Amino acid sequence: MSDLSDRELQMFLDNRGDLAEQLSANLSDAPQPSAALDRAILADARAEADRPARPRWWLPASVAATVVLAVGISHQVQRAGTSAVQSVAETDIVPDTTRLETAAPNTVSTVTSDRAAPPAPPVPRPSMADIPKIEVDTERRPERALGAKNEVQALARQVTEERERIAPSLPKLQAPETPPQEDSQSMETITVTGSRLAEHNTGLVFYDENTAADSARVPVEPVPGLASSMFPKASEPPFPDTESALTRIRFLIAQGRDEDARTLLRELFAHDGDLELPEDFPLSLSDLETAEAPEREPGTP
Amino acid sequence: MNDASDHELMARYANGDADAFECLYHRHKGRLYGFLRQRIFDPQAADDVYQEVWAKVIRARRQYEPDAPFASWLFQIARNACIDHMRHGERRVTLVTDTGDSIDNASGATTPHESASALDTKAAIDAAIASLPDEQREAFLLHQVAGLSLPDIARVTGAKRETVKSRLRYALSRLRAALPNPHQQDVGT
Repeated sequence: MSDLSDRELQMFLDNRGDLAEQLSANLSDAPQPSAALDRAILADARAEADRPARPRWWLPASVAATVVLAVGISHQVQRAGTSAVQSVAETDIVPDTTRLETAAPNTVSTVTSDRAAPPAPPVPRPSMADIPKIEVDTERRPERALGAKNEVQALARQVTEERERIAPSLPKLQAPETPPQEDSQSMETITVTGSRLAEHNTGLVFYDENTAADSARVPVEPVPGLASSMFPKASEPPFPDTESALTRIRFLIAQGRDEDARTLLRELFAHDGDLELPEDFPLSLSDLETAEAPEREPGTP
Repeated sequence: MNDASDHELMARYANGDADAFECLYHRHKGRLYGFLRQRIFDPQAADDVYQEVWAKVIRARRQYEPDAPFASWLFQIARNACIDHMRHGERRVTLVTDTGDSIDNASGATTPHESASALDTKAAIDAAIASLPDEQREAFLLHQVAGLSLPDIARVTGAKRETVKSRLRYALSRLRAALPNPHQQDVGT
């Protein structure tokens, strides 16, 4: 195999020379496609030519429509997910109106039974009328949860302001001359009610009554004539008059708290010496006397 | 219509003139079919690829841009179709002559010169072309059968002009050696 010179190559590229002619002569009678193949291709070409052409804007328009639809659907899905979360959050954070009304004072009344403490003037407790009534529309739609959140925060700020407004009057309830009680047993503390605003980790504000006991406690001077046992426990109903006191004594006996019942009855007699007990009352004055009598030790005179 | 250029015919066909395509088809069908028959030795497969190439031309009639000769675009489609065909099937270089004899070059047992001595001139040339390395054979066919110029061959194959020239040089040297009387070839005179 001899190498081809540049001149020979150029002649071939120009279709000159014996080599080019010999190759062309042998390749010129190349096979042709069959007539059936020609007909099939031409029929295909005519069918395509008769088909109406799509306008030039068809492809960009379809792409744009697809993008718009995709964005819209994703936006809707995102909104639906957010609304569901906000709906759950709103259920958790929207405070109950009555709870707000009762919890707004945020006071923890501490009644001391320190007998040595001097009598103090009646405690001017802030009345509920002083607390602005807060109404929350709990019928809001879930999609308005964001607005409800802002409203709850505003209400929380309002309650805080009320607390700050009330707070200056509360220290006056504490006798400044009273030294701190070292003996904790000499004081009986009863938590009446309270509330504290706590911030949820989601940033939303809600009322947590369980943490009310942790809030600052303000001692209250004892009210003359009222014993600590007169104050009901958290689960016991209050009683304002003699009839209610008797009912409460029955309640204490039913609970097996006989000593408390006797104490209450004794205080009731001390408050009202002319008290007459009903015949069916489970306690009598003799029961009180029997309980007051100290037991004798055996062998002592 | 026969005087119209390939660009004009293609533009008219893109606007729905089927006669323009028919004219274009008859103008290029022989060279395209000859190219495919030299590239794909199975006649049935060559027919399939031939029809596939024209189908692609028909589908892409509106995307055709006359920035290159139509033949260059047509044979670029044909070349890609050949590559796809060779990827999907085992490449077997078998040349079926007009007399029904076949030359199997896949085994490499027969040299081009030995094959040429047993066949007539045309069969010898066909066998010599078939025995060329693929890139050299492609460059030779694009020039000799498709009638493309050197720049167009470079555009179709994606190779540099000098690379195409080198491939052609080696191909011609092999073919000249495969001719019955290579020493009698008076190239250049």
